[in-house]
Order: sequence, then C-alpha cells, then structure tokens
Amino acid sequence: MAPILEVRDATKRFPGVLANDHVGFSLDEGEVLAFLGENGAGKSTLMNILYGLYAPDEGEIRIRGEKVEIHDPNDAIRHGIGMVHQHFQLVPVFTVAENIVMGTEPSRLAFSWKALGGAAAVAGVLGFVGGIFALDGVLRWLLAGAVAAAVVAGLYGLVTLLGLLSRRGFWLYFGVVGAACIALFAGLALLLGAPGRIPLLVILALLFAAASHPMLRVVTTALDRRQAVRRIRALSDQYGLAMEPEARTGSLPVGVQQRVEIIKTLYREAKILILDEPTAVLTPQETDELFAIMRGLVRQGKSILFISHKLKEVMAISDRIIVMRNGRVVGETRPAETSEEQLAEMMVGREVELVVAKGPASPGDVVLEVSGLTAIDKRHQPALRGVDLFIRSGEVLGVAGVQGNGQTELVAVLTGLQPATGGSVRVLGQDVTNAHPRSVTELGVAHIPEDRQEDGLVLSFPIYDNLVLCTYYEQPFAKGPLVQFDEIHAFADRLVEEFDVRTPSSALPAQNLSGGNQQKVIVARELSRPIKLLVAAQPTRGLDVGSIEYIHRRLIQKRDEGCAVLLVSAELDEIMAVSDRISVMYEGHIVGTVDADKATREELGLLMAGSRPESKREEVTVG
Amino acid sequence: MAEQRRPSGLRARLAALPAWSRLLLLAILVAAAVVLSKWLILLLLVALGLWPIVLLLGLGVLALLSRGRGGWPWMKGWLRGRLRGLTLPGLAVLTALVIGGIILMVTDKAVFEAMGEGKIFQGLGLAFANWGKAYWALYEGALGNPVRILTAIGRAFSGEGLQPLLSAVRGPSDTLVQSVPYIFAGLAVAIGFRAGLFNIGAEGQIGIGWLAAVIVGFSLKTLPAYILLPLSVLTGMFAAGIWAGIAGWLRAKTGAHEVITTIMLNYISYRLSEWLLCGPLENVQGTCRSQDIAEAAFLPRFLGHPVTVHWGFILAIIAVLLSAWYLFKTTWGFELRTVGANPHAAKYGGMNVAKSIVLTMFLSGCLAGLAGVSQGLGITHNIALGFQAGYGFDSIALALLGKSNPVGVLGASLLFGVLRAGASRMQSMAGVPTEIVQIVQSLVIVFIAAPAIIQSIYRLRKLKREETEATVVTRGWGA
Repeated sequence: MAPILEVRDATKRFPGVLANDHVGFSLDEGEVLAFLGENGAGKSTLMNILYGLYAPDEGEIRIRGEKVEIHDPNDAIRHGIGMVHQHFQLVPVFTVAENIVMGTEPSRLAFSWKALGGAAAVAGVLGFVGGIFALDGVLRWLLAGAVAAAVVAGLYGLVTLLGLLSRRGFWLYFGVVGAACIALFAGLALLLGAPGRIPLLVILALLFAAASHPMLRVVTTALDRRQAVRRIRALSDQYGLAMEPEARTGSLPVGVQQRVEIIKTLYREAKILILDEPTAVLTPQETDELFAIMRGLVRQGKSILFISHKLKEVMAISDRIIVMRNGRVVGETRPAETSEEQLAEMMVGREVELVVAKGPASPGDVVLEVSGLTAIDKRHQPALRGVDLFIRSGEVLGVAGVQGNGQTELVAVLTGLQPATGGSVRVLGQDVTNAHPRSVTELGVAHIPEDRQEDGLVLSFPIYDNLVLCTYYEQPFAKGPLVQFDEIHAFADRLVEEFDVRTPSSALPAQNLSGGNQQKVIVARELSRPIKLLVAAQPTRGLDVGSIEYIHRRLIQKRDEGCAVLLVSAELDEIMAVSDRISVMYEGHIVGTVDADKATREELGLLMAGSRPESKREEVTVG
Repeated sequence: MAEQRRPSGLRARLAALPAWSRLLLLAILVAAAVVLSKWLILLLLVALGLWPIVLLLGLGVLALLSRGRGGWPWMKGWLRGRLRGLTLPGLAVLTALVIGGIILMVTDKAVFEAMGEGKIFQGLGLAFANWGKAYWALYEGALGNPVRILTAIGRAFSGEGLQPLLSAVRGPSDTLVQSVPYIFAGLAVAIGFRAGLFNIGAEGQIGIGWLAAVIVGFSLKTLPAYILLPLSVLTGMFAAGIWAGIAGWLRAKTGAHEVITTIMLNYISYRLSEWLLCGPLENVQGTCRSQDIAEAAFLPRFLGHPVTVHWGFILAIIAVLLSAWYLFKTTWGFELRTVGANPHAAKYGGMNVAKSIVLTMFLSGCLAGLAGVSQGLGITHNIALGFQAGYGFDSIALALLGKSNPVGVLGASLLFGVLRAGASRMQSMAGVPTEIVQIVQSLVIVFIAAPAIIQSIYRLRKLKREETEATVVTRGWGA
C-alpha cells in the first residue's frame, strides 16, 4: 500500500541558513511518526512546508502516490493535511464553535426554508411599513411588502442555489443583480415619468448590488453556525474529544484548548495531522490524555506527524522515529530498536550526558534559612502553609512536586516578588522577608524565573538590554542617570560568546531567539554576577536535550564554586540528577527531605502524591 | 558577533575634545542661535514654503556624501532605510486625502443639483473644480505659494523690506504655530504609551496648564519678563503635571485604570475653568474671558504680523529633544520603557513599577500642560471659554501615528499642523467646511491603526513586523 504521505528531497534556504537539506520521509496510513531534533534542527520548517506556509526551494510532496503542489494552508487542508501549532491560533473571546468554523464560511449553503421564510417575512414587513409612508391605498402597501419579500427571496435563492457566496461568485452575483436592479429602477423611472434621474438610479443600483452581497454573506454565515455546532458535537463524540462548543475559548484550560485545535483540523476533514510540540504546554496528566486521544485518532484511520524534543514521550507514543539535525535526517528507527541515550546522541551529534556528571558536594555555611513561611496565591487561597527549609553554600537543594503545590509562590516570596503572610526568610543571616526585589538581588541572590517570557525577559527589547535588566543602574552600565551604551554592548558581546547564545548580534530583540537561547540569556545574566544563592525555577522547561545538558552543567559549576542552589522543578529526572538533597512539596508543606543518592523514584512519587512511603524516611536535621 | 559601530569622522573629532571645550562650543552655538533667531525662523519658514527646492538640495548633499561611501548603492540603501518606515504613513495620508476629496466633491449642493437634473458631466466638472480649488487653498494655507515667496524674496532684496515676504510665508507660519500644541500633547500621550499608560486626560491637562500660566501672567504684573515668563511657564507645566499625577497615583495605589480617571479629571477641569472664567476671573461681563496677561509674560514672537511663530515653537523642539534623550539615553527612561513593555519583568528587574507610573503620568501632564501654556502665553494672551480645541484627543492619534517616538510625533504634529492651517484657509477661500479636514485626519488614524487596509488597497507585500508592530496602548483593568 502506498504511503499516505511521501516527501522527497525537501530543501529550504533562508538567508544564511540551510533550514532543510534534501529531507525525505514517508508516512504510512494509521501511523504515528515522530520527528525528533533540537531547536533549529529543521522540524518546524519541514512541517511549515507541508502546511503551505513556506514554499520549498526543491523537492516534492506526494499524497497517496500523487504529486501535489501546496501553495498555502488552504491547499494543504484540501489535501487532508491539518496542523496543530505549538502556539495556538485561537481567538480567546470567541466560543469554541466560532473558532472552529473561522475561515470556513461556506461558499455553498444548504437551502433552509426557515431562513428563507424568516428573511422574506422581515423584508415584507419593512416593505409594508415603507409603503405606508410613501404610497396611498392599502393595495399599494401590500404590493410594496410583496415586492420586497419577493426580492429578498430571489436573492436568497440566487445565493444558496447557485452557490454564489464565494469571492468569484461575487462578480456573477454583481452582474446579475446589478443588471436586474438597473432594469427595474430604469423601468420605474420611465414609468413615473422622470427619465433624467436614470443615471443617478444606475449608480444606486450598482451600489445596492455591491453592498448586498457581503451582507448576505454575513447573514448566511450566521445561519450556518447552528449546523456547525451540530457537526462539532458529532466529531467530538466520534473521537472522544470532550468539549462544549458554546464555551468561551479563553476560559478553557490549555489541554482543552489543544483539543479545540485538534477538532479544527478534523472539522476540515484532515487525514494527516501534524502536531507541533504539543506537550510543551501540557501538564503530565494532560499529556497522558493527549496520548490517549492520539491513539484514538489512529484507530479511526488518521495518520499523525508528531514533533517533539522530549525523548520519553517520543519513545512512548510513536511507531517510528525520525531524528533531524542541522536540517538533515540523521536517523530513522523504532522505539523498540533504540534507547533514549542513542536518540540523544543522534539529536546532538555527540554523546550527551542525560544525567549530568557531578562530584560530591562540599557544603559550607547556611546561606538560606526559611522558617514557617506562609503565603497566598493569586486566588487568595493559602499556597504556603508553613514552609521550613535551609540550604548551605556549595549544595543543591531540589524542590520536587507536582505543579500547583506552592512552588511558584515559594520562589516568588524568596525573591521578593510577592509578600509573605507569615514566617521569615533569612539570606546570609539577614532578614529579607518582604524585602524589595532589588535589595534581595543586591544581597547576591540570582533568580531564573519559571516563565521566562513573562517575567525574565522583555521580548521586544534587544538582547543587550535584557542582559542588564537587573543591573542597568549600577556602574559601569550607568554613570548616574546616563546609560553607558559602550559598556553595555561590550558586556553583552562577551556574555553571548561565553554562554554560547546563538544569535548573529546582541542587538536583536529577544523575541527572535529560540526558547533555549532565551533561557541562556537569562542564565547568562544571572550567573555573570557574583552570587551567593541561585534560585532556579523550572530552568529547563521547554528546552531541548543539548540546552538542558548545558544548564545542568552550569548549575553544578556554580555549586562547585560555593554558591547555594535552590532548584524547583516538576521534572523528577532533573531533580534527581542535579540535586544533593531533595525536598518534596505537597499542598504548601515540605512533606519530606531526603539525600539525593538515597532517594528512589517510588519514594519521591509517593511523597509528591501526598502519601508517606512505607519504608524508612531519611530525615535530615538542621545541624 | 559584535556589531561594528564606527563613529563618523565629525562625531569622533567632537568626542575627542575635552568636556569643557565641548560645553563652550555648545554655549557659543546656543548664544548665536538666540541672537540670530529672527533670521533662522524666517529661513525655516521660507524653506518650508520652498520645500521642493530644499528636497533637491538635500538629495544633492546626499549625493555628495555618497561619493566617499560607495556612490549610488549607498545612497539608495540609506534612503530606503530611512524611508521604509514612512511608506505606511505616507500612503495613509495620501489615501485619506483622496477620500476626503471624494467626500468634498459629493457633498456640494451644486453638484447634487447638476446630477439630479441629469447633467452628469457638468456635475462632474463642477465637482473636480471644487476639489482643485479646495485642495489648492489647503496647500496654500499650509505651505504658502512658492511663486509668491520667490517674488517676495526678490522684493526684499530690492529694498522693499520684509513685509511682502512675511505675508508670503503666512502659510508655513500658521503651520508651525498650529503644530506647537500638537507636538506637546502628542509627546505627552506618547510618553504615556511608552509606559503602557493611556493618558486620555491631555485635554484637561492642557486646560489646567493654560489656566495656571495665564493666572500667573496677569497676577504678577510687576515682575520683569525674565522672571515672570519662566515662572508662568513652569507654573502651568507643574499644575498640569500634578493634575495628571493624580490619575497616576490612583493607578499605582489602587489599580484604578487611568483611562477612567483621566477622563473624569477632564470633566473636572472643564467645569473648573468654566466656573472661573465666567465667575471670579471674568474680565468683561458676559464674555467668559479672563483679563490679558502682562506683556512681560508673552512668549515673544520672532517676526512681525502676520507671522505669529513664537518661542513656544522652540520650547516644543526642545521638548522633543529632551523626551528622546530621557527615553533612550537615561536609566529613568529605560525603567519607563520596561514598565511599559513588560511590567512583570520590570518588577523582576527590581524596578519600582508604582513610582514609574506616577512619575510618567506627571511628566505626561507636564508636557500636555505646556501645550496650554504655549497657546495661552504665545497666541491668545488670555484664556476664554471654549479654548478647548480638541488638541488633547487628536494627540492620541498623533502618538499612534508617530509610533510613540518623539521624532515621529514631531513629524505627525507637523502634518496635522499642515492640515489645520490649511483648513481655515480652505474654508475662507473655497467655502469648504473645516470638517473635511477633520475627516481626513480621522481617516489617517484609521489607516494607521489598521494597516491591512492600506496593504490590500495597494497590494503591498506584507509589511515587516517592525512596521506594523502594535503600540501597546494600555493594560488590564483592575490590578
């Protein structure tokens, strides 16, 4: 059986970059094919070519053996390709149904007696009312009403039965209706004995013909919506994607929004679904749900192209894996025939330490001491219910736990971004509870924020401005109020080189960088000043294997230089690899602290779920 | 890779001089400018009126410069880089003028009558003649008649004095004068936008500034000019700054959105001035106008009648330069822009967001107040009811047009100054109501706010992201 999709020699060049270099692959029907690669490997470019967003410089695409040309997403949709982007393309204020039908306004509408009756009735009433003011005699009123209703019915018929709602249909409609109106008005004018008004009436007739078409489009689109909702519910049941079509999209959780995006593609009858980094925004539970949905789609005959850089997921869900690096396909394999280490090596091009190598810690004095800390979250619910912890210099304390158990608030209070409602925080012996973020920073505390785009960077500012975001007011970056640009540029160039931020210039806005490089900018900024405590919240979220390795190495390096490191992460692997001691947070408490080399996944998993493990718990007491 | 930034020859030589000699040089230049101000302004006005010649001269200078740097390709690249940002505004203005012209054509009673009687061609002819007459009056009212200017220069040299020349450059003079309040108010709103604050209160702040400056101007008649004038200006400025600062403080302390509070403060300002002008401050019963300010408080005019350009124009240019310096070269400006671009990151970076908000609203109010000050001390020399001329609301459009950049605001203000100056002449010469110009102004705003319209009309390829980057106008309601 011919593969449902085949790509040969796809090549795409951008100025200075060869994004795809003679890439070829084939996708069988009912298969989940995963594309694995670092950021910048060319996976998204390839998918954009398939979806018509880019035109390939070379290469061909075959669907069921037939060569096709895809010039824009509409072509891709017509050929049965649907894409769910990493960053959703939904309008938050629209309902789910409105988002799904957006862009598919019909060019051919099924005829509806109800709609015709309603429109004709409205027109009839308007004509009648108008007649009262313009004409004499009851018959003339009725005549006016009847004429209006007939005109509307005729137009509706034209538009629905002849399928003239598309843009091409517009010209035909314009011609026919324009000619009819001209004839009608000219006739009326001659009848009423005012031939001189004909030119003016011609202009009015043409204006009416031109204006009525878009109005009819709007009306008929609104009528089509109920059909759409019915169809969405049917699809939702068929594929097991539970959702409420009338819900406001902006208020839905991310996992459900993703399902809306998937239904969007199914609504357009996609046979091939491209999922671009779908798990980047999902919690672990939502990821499991997504995988169940994917298996359901495959059972119903869909084929899926799954883009990711997360090794575990790719191994879990895919039937086949294609690894890309630097724009080329460097390997093709099946999960059963490979391992995470092999995949990582193919992705990065060299052996990758999935678990960073580190020597033993040599902890010194206590740097951070937290006692009885309480705080509330954004919804004014208690988030921290009495947290006690301490970190010594030269050690890494990992705080594990499922997101939503108070980790975000803990980091915010420690760095001065949120006030505490009780308890104390001491850094190097000084009380910094509820201190201003700047005084915390000046004590030697660095913070890698959880949400790099919202808190850590100003995306529209150039990289060099972002690199001095916390220190712009100090010498040598400023002399009094005057900004010293030369110093800032020199500093920025140095950091970009030292921390290997991939960018042609430090003057580009931060939003041009990939996620991994954005994180490197933040890491560079925080690690380039003398610090005693580093608070790192989800520092490798959304990053590829190479960047993760880099950041872990840097964290350990800082630890070995004598810095105290607080690592907050929802990735248990990361915590276990990097930390010297591990604390687990659950519902605003620290429910257990263990030495990293003695901890097991099971034990930590139980603690994270709120239950205490049966086996002995190691308790580390403050010396 | 580090960007190579080669300082140009002149800048390098200047930077090499010791600081005191640079200051001395600056002081000498400023003194010379003040002494020669009359002639410099006259030269500016003539240059505005003879702008095609100036443009050619400029291209010539560019061609000369290009010889050392790579000739025609360099010049083409330089022009393309500088002008790229002007494509959208330029086309927007052009389209707005065309549509304004169409509306002009079809709203003439005579045209309707001709059309109604079936005399299509006569009607069309009349319409186009109207259009030509009106737009020529618009041009002349704004930029003068080049031929008349040239002959007036000739007459000046042949001993007839400056008066013919002054009359000939009345257009450019009106343009500059009309643009002064726009510049100040546009800067006020633009600075607000840069910090993510929507200052709709410019209208009320202009009023407060005007009021305060005029009150000082006629109350302290005994003071000499070198004290009274600066005092009036500063009083007007600070009064308006504090007025706006109220809204800023409310926003910082309670989260009350400045859109609401500034509009409310506008109304308070209107009623306050109404009460004062028709009550305690009324000079002649029934006029609702204050007494005139002392001559010592006038913003001096450079030349005689009918050229009314006054020192407020210089203040406006200084305001543009200071705003640009503040925003882009100081740490305060960096804080302001960061709070506007991403208040979360600003807080993370240790900036005091609340302080920035209050300070920004204060500065914004000061600038808006200067608009009122310059009108009160430079043009009317008193304050009368109905002084509001909508500058405060137009300035929102200006800030958007100028992309919240001080130099952009200057350009947009000059454009609006051109339109306003031309509008009054269009009304007197061609009988066309000034509302047509308001329509043009509004259309310009619509086209700038929705660039896709221009794109589809002119089938432009997608404008680059930087060109259509939406200005952050304001942020969330509530906290």
